[in-house]
Amino acid sequence: MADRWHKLSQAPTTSASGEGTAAMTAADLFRDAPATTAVPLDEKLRQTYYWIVNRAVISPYYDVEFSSGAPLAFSLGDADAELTLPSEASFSSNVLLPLLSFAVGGKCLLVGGPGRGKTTVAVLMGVLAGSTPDDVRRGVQQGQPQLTISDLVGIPLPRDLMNAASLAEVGVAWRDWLSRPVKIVDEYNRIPTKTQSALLTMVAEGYVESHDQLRRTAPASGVESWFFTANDDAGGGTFPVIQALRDRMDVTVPAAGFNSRFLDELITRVEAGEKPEEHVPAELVFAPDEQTAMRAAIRAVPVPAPVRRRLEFFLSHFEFVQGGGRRFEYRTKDTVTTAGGKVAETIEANSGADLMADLGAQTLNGLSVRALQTLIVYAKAVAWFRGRDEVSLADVAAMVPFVLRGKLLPNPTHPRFDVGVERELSTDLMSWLGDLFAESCRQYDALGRGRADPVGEMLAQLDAGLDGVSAVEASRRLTAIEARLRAASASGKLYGRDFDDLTALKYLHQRYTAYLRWVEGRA
Amino acid sequence: MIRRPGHLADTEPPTGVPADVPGLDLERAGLTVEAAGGSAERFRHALAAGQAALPAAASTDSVVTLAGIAGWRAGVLGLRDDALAHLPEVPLAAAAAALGIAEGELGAFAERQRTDRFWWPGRAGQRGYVCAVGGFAGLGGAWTAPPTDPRPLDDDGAFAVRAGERWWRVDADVWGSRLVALEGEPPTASGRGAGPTASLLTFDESYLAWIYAAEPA
Repeated sequence: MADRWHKLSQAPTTSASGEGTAAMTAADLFRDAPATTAVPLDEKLRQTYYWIVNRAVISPYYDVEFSSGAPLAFSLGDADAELTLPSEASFSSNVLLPLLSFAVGGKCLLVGGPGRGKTTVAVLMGVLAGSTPDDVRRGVQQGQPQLTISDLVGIPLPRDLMNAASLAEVGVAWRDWLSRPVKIVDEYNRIPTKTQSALLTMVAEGYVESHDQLRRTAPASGVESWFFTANDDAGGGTFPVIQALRDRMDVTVPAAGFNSRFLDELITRVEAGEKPEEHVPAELVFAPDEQTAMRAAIRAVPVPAPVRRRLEFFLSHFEFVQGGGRRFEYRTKDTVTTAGGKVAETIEANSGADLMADLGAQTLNGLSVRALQTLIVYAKAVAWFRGRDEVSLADVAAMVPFVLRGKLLPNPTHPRFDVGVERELSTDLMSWLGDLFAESCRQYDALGRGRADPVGEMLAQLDAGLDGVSAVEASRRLTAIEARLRAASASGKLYGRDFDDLTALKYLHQRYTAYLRWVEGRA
Repeated sequence: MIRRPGHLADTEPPTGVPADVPGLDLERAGLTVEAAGGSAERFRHALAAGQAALPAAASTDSVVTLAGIAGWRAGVLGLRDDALAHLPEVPLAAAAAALGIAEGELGAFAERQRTDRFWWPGRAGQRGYVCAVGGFAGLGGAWTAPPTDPRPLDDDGAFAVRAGERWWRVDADVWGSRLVALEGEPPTASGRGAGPTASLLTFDESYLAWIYAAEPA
């Protein structure tokens, strides 16, 4: 029987400048295609993506959109629904994000109702890493209320338990799945809390411990990716997921529903009794050294300064809350939360700022460094996947909803979630997060932050070093810092976007004051 | 009627099924044509038409040369120079059949093509219009806004055009065209690049851009 699964994209999956116009000869037509190993890794990953969406997972959804300029949009229905036609290659998140997680060695949480292909996608990732379909399926950890730590990691050898004089002499029969490159935990919100804690150590620290024995979970390539599934990520399930474990999920991806127009393909599979993971073409399997090289190539993609600046501006909105504390540095949401207070009430009590303009008022928390690192890694990954030389704003914007879902929590009492047209954002968190980033970029442009960045220049000036800086010059810089603080003080309004700048100015002031003291003392 | 991108010289393409040639992987050649921006299907038909006119004892080298001509006919811009240079090396009837041009017109075609990449015997009958490129994205084309600001680039047969906020480079000849999105506005050509008369035309209400070559009176 012809293998209907084995069809890879022969044409390059992305276009490059000059492609198709370079001079050729007739003999070039018959030259062998480059050997499989010579396919660049990004092209191989794109081929893998297209194989999955075209052959393996029926997913005609293109929700990760890229467009040059405004996409063509159609208003549909009478409730402001809008369908957009992106002008550049766009992607299906429920395949792209797991694939990027596989590439970077990330942790991906797939959420959605039963039967939406979450586990199938995860199993495919395991096969792409070189395991057989049977091994991958055997290695899937099924979350259930009776799952113990021993079920998860293995058991001490009974012989050693009898004979050992100390714990160090107890050998542990580790479970095989622990060192697989792709680890899959199904329905992780049905796992008892104690077992979740053991899982957390594995996910967070990369090792597992039992009876004083320790085992690293990383495979030979050093790249391990984790896939978790859950029917929801809003606290449902048999056991609530411990926050530390939830925070370790690099990306959260909603599974897409089935498009009824593709029933024929489904019937064909039912009749043939076929499973996509059993038909992954060998050319698409990534060897351990390829996985290592792929992760290194992704990490090497540069983030240009203009994109970094917009990202800084976006992050600056969320930590500050006006009435969160008395000392300036303590006016943060973390101060309120760790003291058992309600951030929403603190935000509401702030009558001085415009809640609609203050993006920080829409969230109950700030962003962790871990979330930021993850955002950078995934933005690099999608830029690399798209064949770009550097990360663009579009790459960051595309990853924001998936990385920040579950990490940047909406403030349900904010007027935005209360009033008519935007109420749907209280349940559609992905759109809300995407919009939050877009609005931050609009504010960035409106405030002219891209044109002038005086605080950034002051920090760069300090970074250049203090060697040879005279006392007069240090005093001049101190005056400039105080002038900026005076200007901020005169505006009367204070938003999160200014908080980091103001604390940075204080930092600069401290550095220059200390330096000035030293210079004057030496004189 | 909805107009779609295409070449006016391509209205009656050659047809046929290519014969296997020992030592030549015709399927690989079709994939290369596709990867280089041409049509594998048109390549197969053009090659088959040319093969049918080759003598039975034709060498493998002749078939390779013919494949280059067929690849150019199938839209591979990069094969143009090679195909024109080697046109005399294959029998006249085979080259004409692969190109879909009457045998008697092949000499004039080859001669005119050396200076005008957009010429073919029927161009005057099309009032100088050569091909339409781009098209509406919703109908399988490239653009979501009508193209504007067309201009020639320095390279022969190359133009730039803006669709919405994005600039595109258009490379074309009589049989094929290639569109590549640009990162920004390209520099204006220092001289005329697309032959003495060719230009890219856009229209307010059309998603197509037309290459037009004024015919001498």
